[in-house]
Amino acid sequence: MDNESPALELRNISKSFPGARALDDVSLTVASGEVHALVGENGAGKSTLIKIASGVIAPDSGTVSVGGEVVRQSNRRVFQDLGVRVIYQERQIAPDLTVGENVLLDRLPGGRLSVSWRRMMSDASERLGAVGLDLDPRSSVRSLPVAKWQLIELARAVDFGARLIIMDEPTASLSRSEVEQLFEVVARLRERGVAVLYISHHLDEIFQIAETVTVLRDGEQVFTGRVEGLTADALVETMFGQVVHHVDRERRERDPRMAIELDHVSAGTRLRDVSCRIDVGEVVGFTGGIGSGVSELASVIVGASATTGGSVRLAGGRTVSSRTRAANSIAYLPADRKRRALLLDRSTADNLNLAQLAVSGPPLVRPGRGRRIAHDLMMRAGVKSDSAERGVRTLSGGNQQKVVIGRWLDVGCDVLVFDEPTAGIDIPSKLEIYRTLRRLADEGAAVVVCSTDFQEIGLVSDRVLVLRDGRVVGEVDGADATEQRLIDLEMST
Amino acid sequence: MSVLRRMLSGEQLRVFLPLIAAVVGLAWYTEYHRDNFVAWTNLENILLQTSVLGIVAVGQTFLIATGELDLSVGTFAGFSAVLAATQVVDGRSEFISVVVVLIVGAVVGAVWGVVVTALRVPSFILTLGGLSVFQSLALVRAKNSPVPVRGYFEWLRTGDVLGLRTPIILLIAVTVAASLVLRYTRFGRQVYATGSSEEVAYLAGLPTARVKIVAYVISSVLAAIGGLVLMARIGSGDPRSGGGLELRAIAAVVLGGASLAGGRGSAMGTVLGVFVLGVVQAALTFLDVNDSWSDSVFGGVLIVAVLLTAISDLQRGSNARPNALTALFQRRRTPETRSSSTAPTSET
Repeated sequence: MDNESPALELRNISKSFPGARALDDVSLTVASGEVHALVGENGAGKSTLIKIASGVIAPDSGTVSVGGEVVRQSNRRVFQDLGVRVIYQERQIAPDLTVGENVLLDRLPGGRLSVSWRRMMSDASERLGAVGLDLDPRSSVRSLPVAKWQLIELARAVDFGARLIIMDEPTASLSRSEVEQLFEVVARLRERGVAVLYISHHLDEIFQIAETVTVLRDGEQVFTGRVEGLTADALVETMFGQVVHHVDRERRERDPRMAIELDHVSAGTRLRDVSCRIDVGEVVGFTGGIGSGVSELASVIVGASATTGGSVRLAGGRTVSSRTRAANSIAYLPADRKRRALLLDRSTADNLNLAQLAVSGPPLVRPGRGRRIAHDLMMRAGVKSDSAERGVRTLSGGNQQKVVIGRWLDVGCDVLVFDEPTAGIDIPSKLEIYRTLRRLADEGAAVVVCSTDFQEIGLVSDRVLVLRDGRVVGEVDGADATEQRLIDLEMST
Repeated sequence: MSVLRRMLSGEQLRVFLPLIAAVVGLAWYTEYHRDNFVAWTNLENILLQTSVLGIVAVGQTFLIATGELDLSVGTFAGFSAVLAATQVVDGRSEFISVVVVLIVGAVVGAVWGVVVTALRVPSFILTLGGLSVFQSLALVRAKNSPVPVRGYFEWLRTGDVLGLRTPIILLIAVTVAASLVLRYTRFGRQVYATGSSEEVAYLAGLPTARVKIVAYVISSVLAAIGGLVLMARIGSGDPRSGGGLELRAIAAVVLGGASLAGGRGSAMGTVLGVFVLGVVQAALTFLDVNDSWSDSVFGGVLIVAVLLTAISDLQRGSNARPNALTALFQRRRTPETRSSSTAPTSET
């Protein structure tokens, strides 16, 4: 392989989806043996770029070259044969197969029809050894801890034909020691001349292993340069650009009426003994790192996950047990918008009317009335779309999120629970959603925001509770909830 | 007028037009070869012959739209026929035996629904078991041979309301009622939301378990009614008469535009699907085609319908996954280029 030509070269790549420009004239080069970091907020265009660089989707314009060769055909297999490997954020593992089969999943050794189990086991052992994993290739994947699955995927990617390995948030589910293990493998890959495109939102990791970094913001390339000499602050500023510094919130006299109360709530090992009382008109934020239990808490409050101890009580003494019964009083915006919040194959109107079907009401529905309500909710939630009949799939992330919020506006819930309300959406939509949150509280709802975004939590909350390992480790007033203060609380022992 | 236009708009039109075209085309073809096919008596015959299938299939529509399936409806219809027949033979009144059969239907549906929702058992396997059980129960109850009901249930076989016989009246009533329920009731809209994505519907607060249980009850009760009509039409409670009905019902529902993945389907579409199957059957008889061919023709109709739907889905691009066929050919074309010459050596 000639190391003169770069492993990957993207030139003037642009890509649009209906309603959103995902990438706008992006050019980047990853040399052989280089670790190139790619950073940006959710929705900045990182995943689109990964898909283009690995042949999953074709760019609208621009060229992709691998190893100096321009690839015109956007085909996963062609890229694979050129040595492009991707480790996706979502695990690509068949848990019922053996470790060996998973390592060699894309190329099982053997003849055209047969599989050589002996060679599979020896090849797999070798590859596992290369990533520092001491596992029996015959063991079943399901019996292993999930963190190991990631490393099995890494072993799969590191074959001798690999020229470029794209890693999308590879450390999200790894422990500290496993992260070190991963970094060692990356260092070894680099020595072998393999290029790595490393996507992560952990900036410290980027300073540790990357030589160059590209920053994307709203689909535009705002920075590409050497990591050396950069500071974390400078990087954050280029990532966020227009940083949202302020969301209006007037301090009202607190209304001492309780809206919802968590009483020593536990859920397995993911939530331990969380207590909190949330009053009418209050916005309470729960924050912490990934895996801290923040998302679990949202799910427990709304009755979608079972508790193993304690209870969630609403005003009037009712306890929350199942989502179906809680829907009349608790609105819920799940974090995973595409899988858990939207009926993707249905229209905007159907999605807006969904919560109407949840709460009790007359047994007969009139389609005309549903359409009118949908239209009205679209206006109130600020959904920008030409028609309520448009398939919700074609809307931008920000508009989709407004649809999910919109469905609860007409239902009269006293408590609203938002889990990662602005993940993957653009800044103007973010601001609109923050204002909607505040307005709902002003109108007398109790709002719970669960978010791993410290900045966001500080901006919208009247009060912030910090979680770690499922426990509340600190509480601050919204006015004092700066990012630094929250990080300190989260780190403190 | 506006209701009619809305009912035939967009999605529905795409489904219904080919079916209507198929019915008209087939009728025309048969008429061309043999006269009198389109005569009223024959249309009435087709309606009569498809009434049982139609009633059962409309019930199945509720299930398929919620993303469920019941393979036991055919043999359960047969069991219901036997149950009603043995009861009247034992001296109970027609009314009582009908009520008993309907109650048994509701209970059976509720049991399926509760088991499927509470234990998250895959309905396919569960009701496959049910299929066998009802077949066997029917045989046991009937002592292995049809139980004649001559002299009973005449009203269910003949009847004359507006010049139509009872089975046809029942089919029309069931279809209209199901259409209205699916379209204009809260439950009906919940059916589609649940079928579209159970998780999303549940998190939005919809009582998805209840929706599924009610859908099972509706389907089983309609299967029981289908069994009663079946018994009246053949004049006996035949324990083997319901076999195969479930597959034809599912075929009709899918022909009518439903997706087995849930979230789609309509009673009108299903009945048109049933009608297509009925016209095919009648045409085969009319043209003296050997009976052995009939299942091939039914299967062919279903396969063609599913292919057409898949192709139109691909063209709409609603499925982001690459075409499996293209991928297969590309894999063949691109040889394994794992030569060692492209491998970076560890010295570099």
